[in-house]
This record gives sequence, structure tokens and C-alpha cells, in this order.
Amino acid sequence: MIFITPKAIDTSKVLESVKSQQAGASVLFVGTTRQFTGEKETVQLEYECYEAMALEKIQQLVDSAEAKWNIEHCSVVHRIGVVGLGESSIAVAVSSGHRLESFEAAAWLVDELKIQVPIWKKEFWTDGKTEWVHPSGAPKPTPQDFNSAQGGA
Amino acid sequence: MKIQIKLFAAARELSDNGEIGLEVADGILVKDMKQEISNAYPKMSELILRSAVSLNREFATDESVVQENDEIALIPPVSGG
Repeated sequence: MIFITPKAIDTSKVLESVKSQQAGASVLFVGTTRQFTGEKETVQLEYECYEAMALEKIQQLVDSAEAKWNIEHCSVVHRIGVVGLGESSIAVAVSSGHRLESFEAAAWLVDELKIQVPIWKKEFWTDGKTEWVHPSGAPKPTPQDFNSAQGGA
Repeated sequence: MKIQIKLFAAARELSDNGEIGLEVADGILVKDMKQEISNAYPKMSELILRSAVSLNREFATDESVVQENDEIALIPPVSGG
């Protein structure tokens, strides 16, 4: 299950979606809007995405996770629009025969999504200021070998 | 050739537009296209330097060739999750 939604995420359904009798373990990661970042206080976050590319990139990451680890199922749901304090912006669920693969694959998926997937958040601070989060010094997304995909430049 | 570039997040707000059109040379490289965007929208220059470009929903390199009818997007550093 992979989708992007403006609605509140039903995290229990995301976990349910990876359950299987072949899986002895399942892991659910949920990211939520945090109230404080250092001394700054958040009112809400707002997410925007390049949806067509974001869905393709998430699918590619899920395909990679399934190739790297022996996992049963994987689901990723991301919310867009306003996400209030304590509300969920992302849910990633993975299941596998044994627990190690689920823990590792889930962590990897979240880490990679934060580098590769075109989704952005805007902070709304309690002092009235807003800012798009475009981190400097963050790992860069990996370009495909585009010219060879085109058949040579 | 005429190209359309999708903009998101701070880039969209800085240009006041979700998509911009530019006239550029045929076979322009991504790095030179970024310079052209910067020339047309100087307020975006700093962000453009830190942004990636996607062509047809795949991340491109600075040396990638932009083709007519490519789906082009400026991808500022992402912050999903």
C-alpha cells in the first residue's frame, strides 16, 4: 500500500496492511508533528509534494527494500496539507519472517524517503513566522544515469 | 526551444507561480538551464544553487541534456517524513 493523502492517516490500517501469516514480525514507524525544535515552538506543519514523482520514488524505494531484505510486505503513506501538533505526517510499515529485517528495512525506508522523495514541509512558528524547510548540507538525492537511459547524449 | 519548469515550496513562493516558461537553446545542459532560471528569477538564485533538477520524474545531473517536451521540475532540498 503506497499513497499520498490530504486526510488524517489511519496508522492502524497501515500496520494491518502488512500483516501476513508468513510474517512473525511487523514494524510500524509513524512521524508526527513535534511541538518544539530547540527553543522554537511549532503551531503546525504544512506539506507539499510533486505527487507523480513522489509516488514513483516511494515505489522505487519499496522495490529496493524488497530486494535488499527478506521482507513480506511494505506500506508507505504520507500526508500532505496541514498536519497539526501530534498528528501523523508519515506511516511506514514493514513485515518479515523475523524481526531484524523489519526493523532495518523500516529505518532505511524512512531515511531514504527523507533524501530522495520530493515532499517538503513548511514550519508555522508561534511567533507568526513561516519557513519552508530546505536543509543545507543534507545528503543529495541520487541522479539516475539519465544520459544512458536516454540512449546516450 | 520552449520549456516549462514546475516549481515547489519556497521556489514556487519566490516566483509566485507553480510553473514557469523559458525559451532556451536546444540541447541545453541542466546546469546551464539552472543559470537561465536564475537570470530570469534572481530572487531564487541562492535556492537554485542548492536545488536538484528532475527530468521526467528522475533526478538529473548537471550534465544531463534537457530535451523538448521533458517534464522538468526544480527540486529544492526535500523535507518529507
